[in-house]
Amino acid sequence: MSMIRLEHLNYHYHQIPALCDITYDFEQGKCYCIQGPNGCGKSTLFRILNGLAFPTSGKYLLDGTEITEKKMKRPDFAKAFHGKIGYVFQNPEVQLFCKTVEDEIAFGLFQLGLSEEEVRARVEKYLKMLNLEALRKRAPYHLSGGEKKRVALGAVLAMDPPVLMFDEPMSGLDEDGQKWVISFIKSLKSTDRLILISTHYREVADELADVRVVMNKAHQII
Amino acid sequence: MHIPDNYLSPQTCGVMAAAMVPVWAVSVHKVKKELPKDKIPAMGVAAAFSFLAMMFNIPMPGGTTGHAVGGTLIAVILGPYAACLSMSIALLLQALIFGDGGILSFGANCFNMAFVLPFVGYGLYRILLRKKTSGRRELISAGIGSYVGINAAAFCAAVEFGIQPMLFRDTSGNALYCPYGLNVSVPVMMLGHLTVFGLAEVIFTVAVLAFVRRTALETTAVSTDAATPLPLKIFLMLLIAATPLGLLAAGTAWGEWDKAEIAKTGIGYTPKGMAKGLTYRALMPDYSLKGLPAGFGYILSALIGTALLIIVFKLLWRNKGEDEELQ
Amino acid sequence: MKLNLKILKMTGHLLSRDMERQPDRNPRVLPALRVGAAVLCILLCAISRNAVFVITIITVELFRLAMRPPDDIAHVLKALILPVIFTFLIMLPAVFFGHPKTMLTVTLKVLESVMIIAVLNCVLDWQDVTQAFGVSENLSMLVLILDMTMRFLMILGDYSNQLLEAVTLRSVGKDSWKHAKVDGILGTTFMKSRQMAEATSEAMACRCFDGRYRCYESHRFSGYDLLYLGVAAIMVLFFVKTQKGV
Repeated sequence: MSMIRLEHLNYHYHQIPALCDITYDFEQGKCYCIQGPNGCGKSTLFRILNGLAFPTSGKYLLDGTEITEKKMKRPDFAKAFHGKIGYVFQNPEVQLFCKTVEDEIAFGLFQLGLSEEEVRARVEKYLKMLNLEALRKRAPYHLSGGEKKRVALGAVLAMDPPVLMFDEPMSGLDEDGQKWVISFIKSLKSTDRLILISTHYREVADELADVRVVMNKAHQII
Repeated sequence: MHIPDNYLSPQTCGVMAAAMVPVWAVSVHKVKKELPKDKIPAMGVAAAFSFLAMMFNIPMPGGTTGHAVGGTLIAVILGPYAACLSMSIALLLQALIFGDGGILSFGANCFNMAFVLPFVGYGLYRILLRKKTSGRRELISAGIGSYVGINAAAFCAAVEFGIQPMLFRDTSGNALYCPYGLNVSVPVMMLGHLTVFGLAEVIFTVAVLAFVRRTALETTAVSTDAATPLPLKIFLMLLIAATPLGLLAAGTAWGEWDKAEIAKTGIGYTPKGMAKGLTYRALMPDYSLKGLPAGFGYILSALIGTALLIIVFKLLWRNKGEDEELQ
Repeated sequence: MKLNLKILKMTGHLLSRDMERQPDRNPRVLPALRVGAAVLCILLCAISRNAVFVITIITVELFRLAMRPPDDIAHVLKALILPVIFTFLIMLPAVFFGHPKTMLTVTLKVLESVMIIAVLNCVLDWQDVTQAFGVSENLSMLVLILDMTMRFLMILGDYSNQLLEAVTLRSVGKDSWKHAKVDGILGTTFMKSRQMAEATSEAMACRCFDGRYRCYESHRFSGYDLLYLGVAAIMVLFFVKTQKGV
């Protein structure tokens, strides 16, 4: 059964089409790389998949439940929905808003309503996993690009979502950082997750993709 | 316009803070309704922006510069309630972390700059705008609103200063806090705000609003019709009217308590001439250490001297260290 | 159009403090206690009717300052100079209006309150100062908003400064900064701030934000806290004693 199902999805932004008639199934346990030129609608697709925008027409189903604007207005539904999807933004600058690195990782965990001990255990685990222990008391926005990326990854992964989405995971990183991100995403693949990566780097797709999804200038999947 | 601590009496500060409590409560309630989705980052951003606005020196005709507060602009774009909250946040950070404006006078500063300024500015803007939303008319309305808003805030601050010597004096008639009456504080405060600072506020508000309206129509559609319901209007007006009364009440309460206390300690029977003599003999008669061991003053001065010596020594050592590094 | 350099200096100071933050750094005394004691101290000084208490507090603060590293001392003194001189000048005419004492009491008290806040900010990082509001469940949201404001302040300050530099580089001539676009720089900064607010709210929604906030940092009540409470109690007792004498 497919984890995410898109049926004839259309999206218009101020009358300008951004996504045209997209029908696709994303299945659990696979890694999808979404490739395409700038402006083909990758980011819009991710926004819709994350419930930040809603299709003009067509359907988006997650685990068989249709996601609509009306349902997302209900706080409990929205919370459950966001708990299922982990989204690593292209620009970690906007994703990090807490005062310290450990606060950042704990933020989502407290929102999930976990117990104090559970939160502390998870924060320690992910600080260690991402090699952030020395930076734990620092303010996230003063870190370097690579460090910020690691914090953003930690904050999302700690919530342990079954779906992970990476928007341009390579942007703003140096060569070492890029290598590290690729190997790290590879290590995540072994777990039973659905991973979506949007990228215009061919090497990323070569290394990581189980399935390649290519989008064209006409905002379609080919 | 940031009033530091000890210019106003703690009683005045208390009354002003108490006056702000219902304003904050109403604002939080309104903001929750009007800006439901992104209210928290929007507050933070608006606060940071008005903070930043105060740091920009805007060039004025005649070669001078002045800085704006930006309250009216934020009120026009985010609504007056959001402006009230974000200005309060900016003022709190300035007082606590940057040492701008006092801790005790936080309530008074909020009353002037987070309540009077945006609400007067926004109110006038709405009245002038009526229902038309043509570009030029909006800019003119916002400009006039911001000018009147900042001057209303300055006037409130001047009144707060000016009533201090009327209400709070010590036994020998010296003012305890700001010593200048209304006849001095009002002209001094208004002179600056009617000219330089008022103009800076107008330039700032009109320029930024014009730019924002020109470049992005869609993002600023947030400015919902935040029309104030009539009961709330009456409530706000009552609050403005009642605050001076509260100030007077606090003042007399202090005065009465003071007299009783003086009578108890017996100081009230001190001959007038002696009290006066003291004032003329030394500028600070109350620095005499009544009721404390005579040596206490010496100990204090010795301690101050020691601390100052350490500080001077450390500073010298620091400069020397820097020189060596340079070489 | 000129940017007052104050903000860059201030944020620069905060930044350098932030870089030095150690992973094992934990405040010894509950930040809320420190901030509370500072506010109490300022309040007591404000209502104090004689100078003994105020001068004693200044002495104590001077000693605390003297124990700090030289850089901190310089920072505090810089923060003190302007308000104190300003107050002194403002209060000077009062001597001739028949309030000779007022000038000294107000100037001293201004010195005292500015010094308390400045020393407080030497001992505590701004993260701890905002953290102080986290003691109450109701106010914990305020911690998030204050932190976010500080973050936006640093980012926007940096951003507007970059814009200003870009404009300065492009403009030729002596007085061209006067014609540099005030509206452009401030307006662009404003647009940027709106975008950042939207992006941040989306990021918060993606991490299940539901309007509640809890701080991760926790503080165990220790002997130091008790000691600190004791010192605060002594301060209050001393205040009561000095006021009786008058």
